[in-house]
Amino acid sequence: MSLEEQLSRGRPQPDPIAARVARANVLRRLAGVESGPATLGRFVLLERLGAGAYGSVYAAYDPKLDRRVAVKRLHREPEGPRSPLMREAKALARLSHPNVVNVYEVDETDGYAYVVMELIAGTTLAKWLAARSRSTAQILEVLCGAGRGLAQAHAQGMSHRDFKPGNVMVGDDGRARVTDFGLADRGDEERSPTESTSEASEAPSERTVGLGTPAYMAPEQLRGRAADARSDQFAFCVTLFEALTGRRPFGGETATERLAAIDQGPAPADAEALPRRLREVVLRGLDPEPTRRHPDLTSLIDVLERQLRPRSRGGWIVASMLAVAAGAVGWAQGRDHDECLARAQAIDTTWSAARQASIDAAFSKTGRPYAEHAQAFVHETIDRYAREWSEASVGACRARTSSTAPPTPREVCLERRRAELDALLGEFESADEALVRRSTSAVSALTPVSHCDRPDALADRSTLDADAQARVAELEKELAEVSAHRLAGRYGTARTRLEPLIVRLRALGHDPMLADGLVRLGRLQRLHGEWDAAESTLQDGLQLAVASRADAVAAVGAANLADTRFRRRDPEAAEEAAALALALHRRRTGESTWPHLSNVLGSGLGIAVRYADAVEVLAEGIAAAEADADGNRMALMSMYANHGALLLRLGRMDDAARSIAAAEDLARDLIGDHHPQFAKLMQQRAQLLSHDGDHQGALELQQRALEIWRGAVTDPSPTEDLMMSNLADFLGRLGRYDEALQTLDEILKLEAQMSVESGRNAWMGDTLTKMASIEELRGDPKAALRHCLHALEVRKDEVKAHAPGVGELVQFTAKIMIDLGDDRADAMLARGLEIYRRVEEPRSEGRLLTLRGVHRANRGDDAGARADLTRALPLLAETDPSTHAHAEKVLDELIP
Amino acid sequence: MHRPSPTDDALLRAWGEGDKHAAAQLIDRYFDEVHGFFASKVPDEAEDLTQQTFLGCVERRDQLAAIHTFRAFLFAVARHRLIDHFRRKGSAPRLDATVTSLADLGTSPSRAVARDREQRVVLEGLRRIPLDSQLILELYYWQSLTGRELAEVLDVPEGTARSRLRIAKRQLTEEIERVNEAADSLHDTLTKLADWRPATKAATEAP
Repeated sequence: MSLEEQLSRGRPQPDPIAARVARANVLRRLAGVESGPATLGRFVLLERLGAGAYGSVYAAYDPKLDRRVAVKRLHREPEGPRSPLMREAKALARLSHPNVVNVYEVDETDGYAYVVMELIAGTTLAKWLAARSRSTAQILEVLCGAGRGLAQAHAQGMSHRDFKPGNVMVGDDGRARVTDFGLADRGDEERSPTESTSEASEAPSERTVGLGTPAYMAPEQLRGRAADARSDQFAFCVTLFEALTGRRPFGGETATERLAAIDQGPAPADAEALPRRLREVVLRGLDPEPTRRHPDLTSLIDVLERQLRPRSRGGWIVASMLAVAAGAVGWAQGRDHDECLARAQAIDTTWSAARQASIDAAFSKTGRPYAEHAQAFVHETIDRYAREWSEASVGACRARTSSTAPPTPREVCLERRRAELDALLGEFESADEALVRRSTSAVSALTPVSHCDRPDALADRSTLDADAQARVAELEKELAEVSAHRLAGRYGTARTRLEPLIVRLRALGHDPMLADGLVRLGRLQRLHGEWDAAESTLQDGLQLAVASRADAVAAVGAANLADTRFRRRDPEAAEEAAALALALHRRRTGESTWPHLSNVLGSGLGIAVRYADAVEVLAEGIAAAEADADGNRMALMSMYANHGALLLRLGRMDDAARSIAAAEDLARDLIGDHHPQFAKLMQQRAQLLSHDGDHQGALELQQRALEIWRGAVTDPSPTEDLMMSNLADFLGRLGRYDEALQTLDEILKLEAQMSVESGRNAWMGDTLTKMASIEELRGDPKAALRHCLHALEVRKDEVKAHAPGVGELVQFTAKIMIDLGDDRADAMLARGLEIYRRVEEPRSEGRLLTLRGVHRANRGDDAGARADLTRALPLLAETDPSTHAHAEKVLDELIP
Repeated sequence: MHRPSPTDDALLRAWGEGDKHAAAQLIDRYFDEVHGFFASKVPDEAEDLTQQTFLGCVERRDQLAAIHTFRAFLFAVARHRLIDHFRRKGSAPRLDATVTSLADLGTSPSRAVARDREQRVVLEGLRRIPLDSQLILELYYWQSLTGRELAEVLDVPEGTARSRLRIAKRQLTEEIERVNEAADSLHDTLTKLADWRPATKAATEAP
């Protein structure tokens, strides 16, 4: 067949309903032709919702029942009222479940077969997943809903046959509903299974695969056999796998390859990306042999939902395990197991019902708007922690060779975790406002139980004699209390209590424990702002930890050292420490990314004004943390927030908006929207609004954020400073200059109370720079220059050092000097160029060169101007098209 | 008895002077072609782009004199609207229609409405070649534009248009071969799978 023939046969027939609606609309709008709304049967077609596999889906109005519905054209030609399609339609219409899109009728009219369904405000699961990253809990919530819908159909003897993310609607109310039920063509009909779906539109990655592959299909379907409930279970698990890991479990371009891939099972690296506690459950649903999958979807969903909502309450975690052990005759090997369970019961005392009640009481007593959320979060987190701990504890105990042997390193490590938890919960029982506010971060920052899967030398106590063992027990208890103080944010108290313990640790002669103590001390010194002391303590601790093979201790030490050095403005040494930290982490865990370290490195690079590097590092950390369902979600939130803030600085507003939205989502979940941390996110959101030109909206949001913050934190803080500073920005943009200057004046007073060490000079310099720019906007360049010079004086050390942070100030001062004809402009321009050259900021350097070029041209120095502008062009080509065009124009005019 | 219907040019001029009746006639005449042109590439935006195309024709009616036929004029406007649309969507900054293919742009083709295999293969192939090559083939074979009209749509000399048409055909042939290779292996597999079926059935029916 010639190409011409192929082409003429290949001409597509457009969806006639879409064409009909479009024609009526266009004729009405352009030619005023009122042909009345397009209809299909008795349904009035309203707006197009999207393209289905075989035609468009429309919102429509049903005049008979006076309701809005969705109408979707089916691929089939009309077959008559007794056709299998119509029989099936009747069955479908009987299927009613909150998680199934209601089918009202299937009908044939005007030469088309179409289905009339419930109209849902929402989006498909595919789009919902693509819109932003979702937490494991959110994904499970939605998919369990969809699974319940599927299970209901199975109970009525129907199967879906084409379950996939495109066939699940996620309503704006968050409820999942399965759609296109049973409408997929059967594998035993004329169409081969490889042609059954429109995946090209959903999975760009699969586009290269010939004519598309049925990515969600069970092997029995691929072999052309009829699909049943177990095939749906397979498709459900493929969907779940993809939703949780971002990857499909099976590759393969042809049916044979796909079948082989299914036989082999998902690649171990991909399966590893599943949350640990879900792995086995999901993989079982993907078994190539239908009979080896879960008996039915309901039992699969039950397991998933247990993960979603830990219903356990303290006091029965281990008790329930005991019951299982007692019931399983032949499984238990006598009293050894009872003994292991009895040991694990320690956690029931730590997280007892009585203790929970007194924590609840303390939290409620504060009466703060965020307390309720914090209480729920603490409950949920500790429930899970306690359950994981008891399972790990039983596992560690059973692995022992005899019940009289000394505790194994894993058991030592677990006991440490329990003691820390116990001390923290003790603090919670008498929580004040500050502790309630911190409680979510505190419980999130507990060392995870899984840390004990790979204990390092710290937990190896085999070298200690009996006397030393006794002293260790006492020390551990006090160390746990120090930890609790740190988690509760009482760094001063924690440090004072830890210092005498260091002396006792030295006397003990257990190097890993001393290293651990030093690292803890250094960390507290850092948190307390004693940078010099922190650096030297951490260095000591790190060396000792490496020497005594305490890898985990060493990794934490190196990460803290990196952070400390960033804050001491020594980014190069900081990066060295970070590299070491990563190497140590990798040696112990085999993981090439460590989210905690990414956050340290990202915020550190941010402090060093290396925004682009920082953004990259954080993006990596975020990806790793998103892949780890057991990870610290508070840390993830913090990374998203930092990522968003840096992107704002870089002017990448769309990316920033995405990260901020992700942080907001997590924050609502983790801390609620009355928490001061949430106020910080509101501030970033306000910056986005302002960037979009909505300065009034930004101002109002910022004012609300400031209220929430001040309601929670009474002491002056850098955050309050920043919030007020943004407020002044928005006022300035709205032209309310007097109020803006008044706000900035208040900030200066606030800053006068800050200590120099906390970076007061940089803050004051910023505030003065803002005052200058407001004065300039107001048309008073002389006042502006006064503020600039004041700012330069306050930040003179940084100016001398050509620190990147003062670049903007120097640039702005130079511009005002040029405007005023001040002859100090040249020196200022040279200084600015030197700064940007050192930090490699092509855009700023290019702009400043353009500024100088134009300045020189105006003074008749054509040669100088030409040199500057020629240098500016390549710097601006990629980074700032409008300045680039301006520079080009000036350069053109120069050349005779 | 038979009144000759007004020419496209006359209708466009009348529309330009505010004659809504002429507008309706002209739109009616070309609606399916223009809408089909967009619907096969960007179904979600087809209505809007079709409207923009007709509006663009009225706005630029002064330029019609320089062009051979109204259809060439119409599709020249349509092509610009399509390229503009992709640009605005930001799917390809500095989009160059001669090298970007729809597959790169990530739009869903009308593959879904394709009925038979040849059609699917052709559509898949078309999606993979550069956008302008796809348009050339569509306009030439589906909308039956002449070589001269094609040159006017692309705003190039006729000789260039014809050589682009040749290049487009070669590109499509190559892509179709590639699609077929993948599909053939799939087809072989399915044939073999179909062969297994009775055997499997027999096995399950055995006592």
